[in-house]
Amino acid sequence: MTRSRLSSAAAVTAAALVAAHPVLGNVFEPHGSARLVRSGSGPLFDLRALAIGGGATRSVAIRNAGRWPVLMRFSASTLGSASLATRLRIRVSIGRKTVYSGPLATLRSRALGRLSAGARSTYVFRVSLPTAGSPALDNPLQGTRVTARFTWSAVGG
Amino acid sequence: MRRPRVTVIVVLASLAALACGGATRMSSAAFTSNLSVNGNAITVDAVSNYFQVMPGTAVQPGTSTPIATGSVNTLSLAFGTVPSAQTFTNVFTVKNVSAQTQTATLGLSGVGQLASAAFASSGTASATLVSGASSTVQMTTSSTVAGLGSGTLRLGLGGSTWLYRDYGATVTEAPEAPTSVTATSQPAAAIHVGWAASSTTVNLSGYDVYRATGAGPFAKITVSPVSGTSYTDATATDGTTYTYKLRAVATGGAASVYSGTAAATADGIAPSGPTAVTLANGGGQGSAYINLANESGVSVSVTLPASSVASDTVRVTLSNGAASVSKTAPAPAGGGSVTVSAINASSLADGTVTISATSSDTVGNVSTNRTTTAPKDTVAPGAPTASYVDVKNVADEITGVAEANASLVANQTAPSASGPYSATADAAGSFTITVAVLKHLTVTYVVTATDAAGNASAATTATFADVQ
Repeated sequence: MTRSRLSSAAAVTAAALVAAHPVLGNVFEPHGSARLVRSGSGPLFDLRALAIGGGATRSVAIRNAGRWPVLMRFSASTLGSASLATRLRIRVSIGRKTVYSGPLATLRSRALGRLSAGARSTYVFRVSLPTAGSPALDNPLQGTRVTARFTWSAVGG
Repeated sequence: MRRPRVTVIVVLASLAALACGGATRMSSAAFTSNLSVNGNAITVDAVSNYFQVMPGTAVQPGTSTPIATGSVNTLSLAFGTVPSAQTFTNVFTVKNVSAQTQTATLGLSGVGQLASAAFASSGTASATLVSGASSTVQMTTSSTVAGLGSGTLRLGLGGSTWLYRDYGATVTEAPEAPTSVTATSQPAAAIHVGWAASSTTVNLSGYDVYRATGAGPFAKITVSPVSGTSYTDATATDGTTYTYKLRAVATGGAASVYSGTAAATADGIAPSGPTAVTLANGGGQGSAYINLANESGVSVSVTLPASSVASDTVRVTLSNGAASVSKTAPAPAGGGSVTVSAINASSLADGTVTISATSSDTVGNVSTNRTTTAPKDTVAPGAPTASYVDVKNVADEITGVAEANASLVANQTAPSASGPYSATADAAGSFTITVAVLKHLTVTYVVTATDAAGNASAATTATFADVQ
């Protein structure tokens, strides 16, 4: 019992360190079975004056840094202006394959398929704000803001 | 052998990670790892990225309340009650806060009481401002639309159709005051007040009329706004001088500034009436007739009392049934007779014509009238018949039939001229004219009949052989 408690306590400490590591960030692989890392750092988008008819494209590479293949999923969530999230169009693609294309507001969880150990996929995000058809419909959007979180989930084992 | 230990460790590690805010989860069947990219912020462009808006110094008329309040996203414009169309300078200021030159535009909608909005820097509704530059905005209220108005003033970014801010604007605009006010005395001490219409054409309810007696204060004398451009004051007193001014009133009650003034003295006294009226150029028996010869140029003599003045006007009216004709002439100062001539009575039917005369003053007060009558007869009698009665050794005779009571005249034209010989037809029209004594000659007479009105018939020419 004593030995078992010590082992458990050590494991908890190690896991906590890994999870809170400033470099590893939100990459966590308690025993190496699933581990995702990204290219770059920080948010993909920081658009401060997006115009009607305007847009921006960003990309990020996600690598399976674990030792086993994983099944990948992608999802997004938003905070802020619901009307803007509804009007914003986002297209997420991997190469020529489109993962999602439509309003940001309706982007939910999407299955991405298998990602081999050590493999990487580059995701291209295209955000655009099309006109609603008239200045009177576009005008109310001015100054509105939405913040999105993009999440990749790997399932292995 | 190792699997249970690993499972325990992973479970504990995952719990620890969750406790530390991490994103990795694990089930007993599978390992999972989540990677999130947070804080992807997208903000839509806005007018505030280009312009700063600051309320100006313009205040609502008669108050110290600023017209504009708020800022670029919240500006509101309240002009209060504006008594007359005017331009408000420095209603608010627009400053280019971007790093590049920008064009700002202004547009009014839904509020006709505001005629225009313009940048002081350009004098138009568009101004190009370099980075950091600013311009005040001036606004002019309408001279044609009155009443309460509520609409928007749009501040837009040049080159963009959708980047703009709409600012609520309210104003109660009074109509413009009427101009060219006149006051004119009317008969029976009434005073007619006239004016040129207000330039305001929308939401104009009418005009309030104000009156001052002598040097006294003005008081409104109309119960409700008067439509049109005149008003008759029937409450004036003869001999009293009144001064009038007006205000135009908008729907909702906003009143204009006062118009200019006009004064008039009430006059309710009519001149004394004519003392006599007679037909001056009558024809026929007693010179009492209007006949074929004088109907297009009737003359009437009117006698006026000594109170008559030169500014009075004599009016003579001839009427017969529904038709009438009139003519005027200046009255003689100090009284006496005046002849009103060349009155064309051709349009009046034959019968009894009533001749009336009045005298009126410059205000239009009309005296009592004096009347007389004259028969009108413009129908000439038919040509008489004529027969010769050869009487031995005494005067011969011409007999015949003509219009009853007509006067007959016969003139001998051959073998020599003699006459005239006259007679009067009896009530049956029969007549006998005694003519010259002739013997053994062929004689020619021309016979005409003239009625009482003086109308002469066509001539009857008859040639007879006198044998005894």
